[in-house]
Amino acid sequence: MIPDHHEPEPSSKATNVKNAISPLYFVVAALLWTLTIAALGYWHYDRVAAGFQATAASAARQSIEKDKIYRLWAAEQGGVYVSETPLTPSNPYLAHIPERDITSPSGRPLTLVNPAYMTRQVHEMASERFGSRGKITSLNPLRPENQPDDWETQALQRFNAGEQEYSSLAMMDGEVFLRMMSPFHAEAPCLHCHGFQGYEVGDLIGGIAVAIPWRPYQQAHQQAWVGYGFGYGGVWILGLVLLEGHRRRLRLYLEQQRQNEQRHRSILQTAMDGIWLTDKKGRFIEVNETYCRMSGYSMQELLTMSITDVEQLEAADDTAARIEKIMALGADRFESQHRRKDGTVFDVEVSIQYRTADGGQFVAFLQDITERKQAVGQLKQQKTQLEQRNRALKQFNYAVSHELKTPLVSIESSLGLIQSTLLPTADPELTRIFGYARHATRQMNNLLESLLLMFRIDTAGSDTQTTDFRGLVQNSIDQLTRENKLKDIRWTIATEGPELRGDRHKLVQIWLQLIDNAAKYMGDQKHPAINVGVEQTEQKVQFYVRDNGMGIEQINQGKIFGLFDQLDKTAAGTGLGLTLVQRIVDYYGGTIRVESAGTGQGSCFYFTLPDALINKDRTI
Amino acid sequence: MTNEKTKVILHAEDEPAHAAIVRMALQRNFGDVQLCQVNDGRAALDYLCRRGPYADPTVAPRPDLILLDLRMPQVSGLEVLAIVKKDPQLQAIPVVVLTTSDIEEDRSKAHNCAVDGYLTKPVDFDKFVHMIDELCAAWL
Repeated sequence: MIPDHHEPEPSSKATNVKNAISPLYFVVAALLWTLTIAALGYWHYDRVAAGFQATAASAARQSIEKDKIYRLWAAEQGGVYVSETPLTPSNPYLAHIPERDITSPSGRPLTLVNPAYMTRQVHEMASERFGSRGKITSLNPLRPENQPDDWETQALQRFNAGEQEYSSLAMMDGEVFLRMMSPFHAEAPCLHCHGFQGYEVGDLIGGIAVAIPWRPYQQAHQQAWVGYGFGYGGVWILGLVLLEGHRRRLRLYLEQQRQNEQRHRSILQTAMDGIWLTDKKGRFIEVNETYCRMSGYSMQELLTMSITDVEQLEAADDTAARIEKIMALGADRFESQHRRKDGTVFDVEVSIQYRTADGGQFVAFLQDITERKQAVGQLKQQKTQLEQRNRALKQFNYAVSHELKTPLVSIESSLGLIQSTLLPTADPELTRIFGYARHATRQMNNLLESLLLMFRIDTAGSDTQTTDFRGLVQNSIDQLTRENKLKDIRWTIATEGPELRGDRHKLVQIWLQLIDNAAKYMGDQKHPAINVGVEQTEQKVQFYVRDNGMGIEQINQGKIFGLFDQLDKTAAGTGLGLTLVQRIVDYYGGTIRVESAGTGQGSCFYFTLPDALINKDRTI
Repeated sequence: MTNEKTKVILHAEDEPAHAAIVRMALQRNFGDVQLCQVNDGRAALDYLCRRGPYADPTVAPRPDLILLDLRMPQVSGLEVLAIVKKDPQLQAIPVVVLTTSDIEEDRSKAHNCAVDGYLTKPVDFDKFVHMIDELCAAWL
């Protein structure tokens, strides 16, 4: 089965990483940020400017409305008469009006001021006092000075087209003004003066304009923008700083990430074990070089395969079941066989773990254990062979020992028979020689007995029973007494001791041999004494057999446990006793040692029997 | 004792010295016992079944006790024991194994064949003689 999708190649990931940390990335990001801030600033500026303009327009509109009201009032009065002064001469453009100039009853000259004239004079006063400029104009003015300029002409044309108001910023005499104009439509009172021009009520006569100096607004706007500038600049710089900081952190993080990944990759690739990373269906996501070498597949090939393609022992269903099991348990370790590309099979030990990350993955470590298995097989075979040989050797030894006894019995019997028939008058030398010969046969018998005992100890499976220390010691002493080997000994025997579990016959031999030894090697001691006891030291229970006999020289203390090492050749014994004891102690996991201050100083044998103790922690 | 029939012991032993000791020990304290010694298990079976040289009942009277060595050249003591204890005519005769072997295997095999006694020959001459005395006292 071939999976249709795999993770993207690692190289494309690396490119992304590189892009994310390149200076170009930062420049583009910084540029975008700058544009954003600039656009925002511009929009804000525009809104504020529009606001100021609206404020100025509102002032202009109010001024116009007031002018209109005054004008209308004057029109409704049909004009007003005022004193004729140099400031207010009679209006030459009203010459067609009868009674333009009259005289008051007291003889004061009065002249008619029409709305337009009045408005012009008010505008002139406002201009002097506030700098604002007002004007009444028309495409067809009565007074030629009221001719519209270019801006006014444009506004009047718009009114003709139906607009009700026109305003904009415009230059006048080198200064910026907010100019606004409102149309005049003919009303009945207007026709008093303008009727002759052919207007009817409702017709557009002209317009009233006002220009408000823009400078104060502009100054307020600019002052406000110093504050805004700091605000926007601050935000912009903060943004750049954060951007750069982020870029650096990102670069550091990605660099660490990359190093980690590289380290993991190199571990993965150089590991002695084969390593897999698979998805939940067992499809390979990653494999290392080692497994490629093991399996003979290339990495590309393996990445299109799954576990079932290499598994030899388990069927697909078994593998699926095992995957379920590992998902439940979290990990598993087992042995299996995998199939190489060339069809050959190798043994593997698989240690596998399930991790829930990334939708569930398995990490497996695989060890080629073909050689190990072969070695184990060989070892097993060799062990079996060795055991067989060992068994055969033991049987042989045992049999030989028994076979040797048969002629020995013949020799001793014959000697005994002959000696029993010797007359009391026989040569005493002959009797002595018979004694030597029979002693030698008994000596040989003892050797054979000891050897047989030793073979028996090496043979496991003897009957195990529970016995106590005191009983074992008493048994040994009883047996030795029966054999007449203990004479005039002052005994000190511990009254309490631990219970022991083991082959009673073997355990008894320890005390039997040690006590026999102690009694045998009393030397010149006039008051032989043997002390048998047990003591608890630190972590162990230690038994001892102490005597006040001939002792053992320091240089010989290491030899005494050797096979057939008998220090005193004159003493009766086979030289096997201590070897036997050591074997038994060894059998029960213990150790034996001797302490002796030297010749004539007595000796003490200490030994432990950990495996025979029923409760190892038990104190005495 | 005089009224009783002479006791007969059949002793199978291939080792002449061992046979001599048994013979001597019996002569000392059990002089009236008739001892028939053969040197192989086959001969012992011939004796018991009255075959060949033992066809005559006077030559081969029915034994009151059989002593068997285990290791013998042609037919081993264990084989003789097995046959004796299966034979309805012979199985009543007590059989004691007299051997140098105290191998547990031999001992258990003998016991499985319903042996009546199992004795290990001691190397010491005096002990050997003493053992034969006790043996005869117990079984005759």
